[in-house]
Amino acid sequence: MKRTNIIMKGLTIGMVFVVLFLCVGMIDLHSGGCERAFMRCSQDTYWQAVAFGVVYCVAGYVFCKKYIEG
Amino acid sequence: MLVPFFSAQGACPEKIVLEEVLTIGSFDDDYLFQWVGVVADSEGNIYVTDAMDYSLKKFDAAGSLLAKTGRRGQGPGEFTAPRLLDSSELFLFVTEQYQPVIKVFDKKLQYQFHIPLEGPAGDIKALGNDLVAVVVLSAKSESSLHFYDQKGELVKKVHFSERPSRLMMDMVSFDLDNHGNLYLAYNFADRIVKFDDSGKKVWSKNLLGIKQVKREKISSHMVPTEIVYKDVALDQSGNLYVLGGKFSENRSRDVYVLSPDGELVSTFTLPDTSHCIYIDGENFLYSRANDGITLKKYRMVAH
Repeated sequence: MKRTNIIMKGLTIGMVFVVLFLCVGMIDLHSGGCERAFMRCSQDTYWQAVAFGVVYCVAGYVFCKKYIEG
Repeated sequence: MLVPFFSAQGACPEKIVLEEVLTIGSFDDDYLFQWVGVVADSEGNIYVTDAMDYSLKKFDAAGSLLAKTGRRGQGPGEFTAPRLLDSSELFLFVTEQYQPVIKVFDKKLQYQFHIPLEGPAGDIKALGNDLVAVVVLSAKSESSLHFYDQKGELVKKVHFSERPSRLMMDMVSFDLDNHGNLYLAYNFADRIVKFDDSGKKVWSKNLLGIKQVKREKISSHMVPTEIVYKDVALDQSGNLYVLGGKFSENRSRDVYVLSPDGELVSTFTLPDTSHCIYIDGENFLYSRANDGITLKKYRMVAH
């Protein structure tokens, strides 16, 4: 059970970027991941169709910078 | 001799030591997966938003899980990306990253209602059961703090920048004291500013000597890529705590303490990197560990 928890937490960390930007797929975990996620978000047809959708990409980017990168 | 924090209004010692008093969540349990927002009530209960399992959680003062609510979805009481959290006497206010709303729950985590916004929230501060201050992200290049009532009616707006800013350059974290003074730290500029309750600038500080952060063209947008300040919090004596980002000696760990007059009176370092800091009504400080799996509560002790 304890081992399972550790594995699950490891998977959780790996999934962080996915949660940060729900509109895009898997994001790189190395440096620059927030920038790449912002690019994909801003080019995503869903957010381009939403009025002022870029502000939601901005929200995700700033959160990514705060949470993931120092 | 070590003494607890703080006794006099604005009084602040030069050296602050953190004593860990509580840990919630670890690699060995399922309490927290990726906590984001935290707030504590007068009884010592701790409320946390957890982005990874789309939930709002309540812990008692000893760190035991009392209640949990939420699941992935867009319905009442559901979340797509729960983020910031603050509380009033009766309510908990939760922001969503991808929805222009604040979702409101009671202290038993029962969903009550939502407050519509003009865009996603950048930061929030509950000022009462019927008043919440929000930095709203919008396509308009205006830098202002919006005050909403329960119905989402705009009660008041305070501009904190005289000129239109470039994309993200007006992103701030803020706090308000009991006198209505507004303190804010820019996320992508070396600037910390205090405004009085009439919106007049009282002082402005730059602590790190950063003239300008790097910006990068992404798609058609010029985007700042270096975060300067991550979060701010006021203690019960009116001192301002600012969590530094990339430019700090210890990235995402250094906390700068400014007096109400804007004087830098102390600096201390968190044991772990954090995305935020929170100070409760008894001057306990909360921050992150283990990349969001763990919440730490510290007593701040003055040397």
